[in-house]
Parts: sequence; structure tokens; C-alpha cells
Amino acid sequence: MEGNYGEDEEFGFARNYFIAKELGGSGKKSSRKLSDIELVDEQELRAAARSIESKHEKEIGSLLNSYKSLYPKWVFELRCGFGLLMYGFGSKKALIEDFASTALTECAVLVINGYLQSINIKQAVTAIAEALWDQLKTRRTPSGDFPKVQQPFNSRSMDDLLAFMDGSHSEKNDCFVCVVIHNIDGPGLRDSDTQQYLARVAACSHIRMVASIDHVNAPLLWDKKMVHTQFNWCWYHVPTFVPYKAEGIFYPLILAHGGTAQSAKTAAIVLQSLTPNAQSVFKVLAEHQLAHPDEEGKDACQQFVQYLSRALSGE
Amino acid sequence: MGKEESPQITRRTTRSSSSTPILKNGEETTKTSEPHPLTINDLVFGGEPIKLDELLSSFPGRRIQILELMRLLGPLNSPMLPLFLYGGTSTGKTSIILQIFRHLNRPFVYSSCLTCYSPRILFESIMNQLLLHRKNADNGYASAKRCERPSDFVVSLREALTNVLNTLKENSGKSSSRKPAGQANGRMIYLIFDNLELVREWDKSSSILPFLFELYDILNMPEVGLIFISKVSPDAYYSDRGYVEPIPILFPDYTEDSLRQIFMRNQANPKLYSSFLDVVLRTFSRITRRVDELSTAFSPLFKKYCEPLSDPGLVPNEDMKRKLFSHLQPHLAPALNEIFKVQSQPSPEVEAKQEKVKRKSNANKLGGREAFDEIDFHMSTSAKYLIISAFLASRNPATLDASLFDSTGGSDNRKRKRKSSEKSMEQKETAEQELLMKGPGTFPLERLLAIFQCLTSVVESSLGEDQQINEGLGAGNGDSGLMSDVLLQLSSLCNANFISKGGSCPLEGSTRYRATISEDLALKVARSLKFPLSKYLYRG
Repeated sequence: MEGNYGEDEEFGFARNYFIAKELGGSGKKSSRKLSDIELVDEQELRAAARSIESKHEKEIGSLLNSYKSLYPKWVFELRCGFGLLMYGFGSKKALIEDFASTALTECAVLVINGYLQSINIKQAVTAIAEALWDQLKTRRTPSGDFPKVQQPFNSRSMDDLLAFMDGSHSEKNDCFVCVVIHNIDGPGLRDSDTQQYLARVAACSHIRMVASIDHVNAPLLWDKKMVHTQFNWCWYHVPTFVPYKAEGIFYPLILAHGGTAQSAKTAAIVLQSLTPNAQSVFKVLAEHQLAHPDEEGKDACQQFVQYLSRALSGE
Repeated sequence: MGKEESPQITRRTTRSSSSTPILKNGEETTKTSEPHPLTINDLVFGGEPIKLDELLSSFPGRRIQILELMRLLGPLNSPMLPLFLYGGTSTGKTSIILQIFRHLNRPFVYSSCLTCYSPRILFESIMNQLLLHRKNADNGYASAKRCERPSDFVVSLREALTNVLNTLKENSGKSSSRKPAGQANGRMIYLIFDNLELVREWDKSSSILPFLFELYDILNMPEVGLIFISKVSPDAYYSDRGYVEPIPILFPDYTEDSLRQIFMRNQANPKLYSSFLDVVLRTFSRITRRVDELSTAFSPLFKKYCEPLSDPGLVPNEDMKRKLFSHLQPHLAPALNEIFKVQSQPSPEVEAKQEKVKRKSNANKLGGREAFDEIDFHMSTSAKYLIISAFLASRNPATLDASLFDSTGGSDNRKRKRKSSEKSMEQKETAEQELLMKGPGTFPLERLLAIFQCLTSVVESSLGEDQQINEGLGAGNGDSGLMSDVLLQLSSLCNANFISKGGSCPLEGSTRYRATISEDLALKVARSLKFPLSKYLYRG
């Protein structure tokens, strides 16, 4: 195309986007489908995936070793009150856990696996508060200006917990709890309420946070105040090229053939996306079927539908 | 401290001394002896009486307001409707009304809703003053009467006012031709309520505010005058009951000339200070016209200005002036940054005030405020570009993007240019009307980022060859490094309601965004960046 090559580079993303939108449907699309390939059973696929040789093992190993020299700097920044945010290609779970187990030995560490499908943020904050409580108990100053009797943590409200974690128990106490969150942009934590809670937790004076992100648009979850004031992130680019074994467990394998085990997982995913009412309907249907195992499935369905229509129209 | 603070000092002492006239008398005698019991004559301002000329000259730029107030207060013993003085901070409302009463020597009761922060304290303070009660150790620092509800207050107030007015009548009845100095004039008494805007934040504001405004009707005593002072215009006090509306008197911000006169007062070395003001006043008055902010900014700068001078009494000549200016100049910019605070009053208020001034027949000439053309808040450059990109994305249909933003002219090469006939012109007009009626459109994130990237690259290329070469090397990295910043900026703009976000979590589905700013604001932002927005707007 005409024009400066330099300009092409800069305009790259924008031009491609506009032209793609222009061409729209007129581009050639491949008409092949996934089912044209011979797909294998899931078990076979997983076994095969496990036996893949990992390439460049030496180089990856030396890269990970080079990160070890950054650990003291990270510890220093945590002490100064910053949070660490790791981003880059590859799973950073092993890296962060190695860092936590070797360098963060004097403070309590709590790990939240953000890549799980759903996370109860209240439980997580309760666990953090309990960890902080234990920490404070062991390091209590002899003056003992410390409340002996406390309400159990899981019955307290979120605001209480945050106030407890933020309260300056005593300035001499240097202890803090380090919260490690793998994939803070994971599907269970993407809710804006959850992110606000995490920001408030990170802003507490006794809490430090180490997190990793993998989604391209992860910063959309936060705004400037959260990033610069509450989380106080130091951004670190740490590509590890380690495969996402732990994080990817909950996603169905595309290349796997639909077997019975597979359909259970996909069914579970489909059911999760339904409304609570629809879910309860299916639950009743399933219980009915379990209660009557000898009936054919179709009959049970018909009966249930009849029952439902009667219920909706009659009452 | 400095000389320019002396006008401030007099204002401060007037406020405190007028709200507690006891103290003033107490200070004049010895501090240890017990002050004498209060009489009716303590309800006046006290001190040396001043003439009208003195009054006018001590408040530069406020001649119109003072004469208006004198006219509304009227001659001795003339009843009046309630007055409502309003204006920005340190525009002289309180000090002017107190000095007017000093000049007229009429008795008044002053209470500020700043120090009297609840209805009970307010009522009791007024009662204490009217009943000539002083809190001391004997009565355990208690008020004369316990007054909590407005109904109690009205009853006690009526009683106390009748007593006071009777006393005043007696005093004026047995008047000789020469009154002893300090005795109150006339048979009327005035109640002044200062800082009225703070009442809006009280718990019981919904009942107290109408009560205060209705006080005139409730009391129905022509010998009582009510004066309200507020920073907020009377429109902001929501009124659904039919009370007599007080007469509003606006105290607009000072013009540059008045500011100069104010600051020139009581200067030891007027010529030196005048040359200092020549340098600083214009730039600083563009930012703020509040006397308190300006005086706190000027005093350190004046000290800096005088540093090179060996003799502070010197009258500078042109050479000297230039030297002093160049000595001062590097300190001006940081001082300008520090003085810039976001105004506590919202900008629609300033506009409302200005409209009121235009409506009044005796409007002051305001010294050139260019506030309407500029945006009133501060934003970073990337935020401004993001807002403009969002506005363009919402305003223009997506099919137009390629031709507008693509510098190599993507689609234009492919389509033929057709001459537009009349019918198609009409169609275009109606299409444009429809577009405007439908409101801003939605756009996905990628489109916004694409437009943003185009706009910012246009700017970079216009910055010049050298800069581009330096930046071009880092452009690849720089762009990717800035991306998270842009996304954060987008979230902040969504929180600030400049851009609205459609339902789902932005990381999951394809969320659509919509720019919710007006064209005016977009034009203002574009103007502040010197960006030709109109070239990119779709006009059908």
C-alpha cells in the first residue's frame, strides 16, 4: 500500500480494524467445521497432552532463575506499601508461589485462586482477617492493649472486617498479611463489586497484595483511583512460557470428542448460565427421574410437562 | 503579617467583636475585672462612628451595593422587607453590612450559622443577645432560655423583642438634642443571619429553612428587620410555601480594578506595591478573584519580589522594575499552580449569578470573564482525546470511520464520487435530523481504541520531524505501554458519567459504550487541545 512504512506500523491496529469492518461479510470464510476432523475421546486427549515434550526447557529454566534475582526488590516494594502486579505470557502461578515461599517468610501469606469459576469474596476476606488476627496475636506487644474477646469473624459484616484490617493496632507492629491472588481478572472475580472490595482490602494498612493478570483488557476492571491509590500496583512483565495447566482445568477442551463425561461438563456449564427459576425446574425434573429410575426418560418428560401445564393454568 | 492583610484583619475583628459585643467592652476595661452588665446600647456595633464617605472608600468596588443597602434599610424607623445578601467567598457581604450598621448606629443582633451549628444553638444565641444575657461562671455558662423548637423560639422571641423595643422607645423618647455617643438610634432592631447556606446541611433543614424565611410573616412586627447572608443564591433554597421572598442583593466578584484598590490599601510603599501588582494581578485574577486566596498567594510573592532591594522604601524606576520582575518570574508559575483550587461552588451557580446581574438594571460591569469558552475542570490530555474519540464514535456511523480516519484513504479509492442532487441533499438533511434525534449511538471497545489511536497519531505527526524520530523508536513499545493507561482512563471516564457502559462485565462479552457528553462540552474540550473537531463530525 502507499504511504510511509513507519506510519503503517503506527496505524496498524486502527487501519486493520476499519478495513475489516468495511469488508465485513465480503471476506472469504472457511467452510470447514470442527466436526470434520476425527475427534478423540477426552481421556485420550488429556493423556496425549500430558506426554507432549516441552520445548526450550533450558531457556525457560534460566529465565525463571533470572527472576529470582528480582525477589529482594519485590519484598522491598511490598514493605513500602506497593502491590505487585505480574503480567506476561505463560502461567505465573508457579513463579509467584515460589516467591511467596522463599522470600515472604516473616509474614502470613494467603493465596486466592482467582481462576476458579466462582469465588465467595466474603469468605476470602474473612480468611484474611483471621490470618491477620493470628499474626497480631503472636506478635502482641507486652502492653497488651488488645481486646481479648472478639466476635467470631464470620459473623461480622464486610465493613467491620475492613475496619479491623485497616485499624492501626500499634505502629510498632510491622506485621502484615500478604494476599496472593492468581488471576485477579479471573471469571470468579470479574464482578465490579468484587473488585471494589479487593481494592478496599488492598488499601488496608496491614494488607499487601501480589496478583497476576492474563486478560488483555484487564485494566478495564479498575479505574485510576483504584490503581494508583488503593491497589498501588507496581507492574512487572514476567513472561514465563509455562503452560496454563492449573488455570485451564475448568475450560472444556475444544478438540475433544463429545463423550459422556464431556457432556456432563458441558451440561453443567449450560445449566450455570440459566436463570435460577429454570435451574430449579431442571432440578425438580432430575429428582423426579432419580426417584423413578425404571421409567423411560421420554415418558417422564411428558408427564412433567403435563404436570407443569396443569399447575400453571389451573392455579 | 504583611500590610496587605490589614484589610483582612479589620474584617475579622469586626465579625468576632460584633457577635460578642461583651468581649469588646470587656477588653476595653481590664481583663481581670468583671465586665459590666449588658445594656441595650451594647447591641450596636460600638466603637467610633464612621461617616458615609469613609464607608464607601473603605470598600472599593462596592459603592453600588452599599448605596442599595442604605436605600433598602431606609431612614430611621422605616420598616423593611427581609434582605438577602449573596455572593462568593470574601466578597465583603458580612463586613459591609456590619460597617453599615456601625455607620447608622442602629441596634442589631448578629448570629452566624457557622458557629451556631444547630437550631437550638442558633435560637439560644439570638435569645441571649436580645435578653442581654452573658454567659459566665455564675450562671454556669448556661443560656438565658432553653429554646429547642421553632414554636418555643417564636414565643420567646416575640417577648424579648417587645421588651427591647420598649426600652428603645423609652430611650428615644427621653432624647435630648445631643445623644451620648454609643447610644442606639431609632426604635427598630435588626436580626442578621449569616452563613445561611450551611443550614441546608442540618438535619432539620427542611423545617428550619422555611421557618427562617417565614419569620417575617410569623412575627408580623414592623419594628423588626431581617437580613440573611449566604454564599448561595436564593434560587437554591427550595421554596414551595408562600412566604415573602426576601429582596436579593448580589455581591459579584471583584473586578480587577477593585482588586487593585483593595490591595493597595495601607501599603507602606505604594509605588513598589503597585509595580508588583502590575506584574501579578492580571495572571492571578484570571484564576481566582477571591481576596483571601489572592492575599495568601501575594504575600510570599511580594517578599520574594522585594528581596533584591536593599531599601524597602525605594521607589523603583523602569530598570529596577525589570530586574525585580525577572527575579520574580520563575516563582510565578508554581505559585499559580498552588492557587488553583477547584471552586467549592459549582459552575452553574456562577452562570446563574451572571444571569441575575444581567437582569438587574443596575448591573455592575464585570471585568471580562472568559469562563464560558473554557472548560471548568482539569483533565489530562489523554482523557481529553479519549472523550473526543468517544464522542466521535457515538456521533458518526461506523461506516464512515475508514474514510475519516484513514490517512491513505481506504475506501475512497474504491468508490466513485457522485454529484449530489437536490433530492439526496434533502435526504441527507433528514437523515442528519434523525441521527441527532436518536441520540448518541453505541460502539464497541475496539472501535473506540482504533479511533483514539488514529487521533493521537495525527497529533504526534504534527508535532514535528525530530520529535517523531525520537518517539518513533519508542512508538511500538510506547503504544503498548500506554494501553493499560488508556483502559484505566476509560474506566475513570465511565465512573464520571462521561461515557456510559452497557450491562455486562467488560472482560466477558462485547460491552458496548456510549458517549453521554453534549456537543458543547466536546467542542470545548477539542478547543482546549486545538483539535479540529468539526472536520470529523458527520453532518449528513
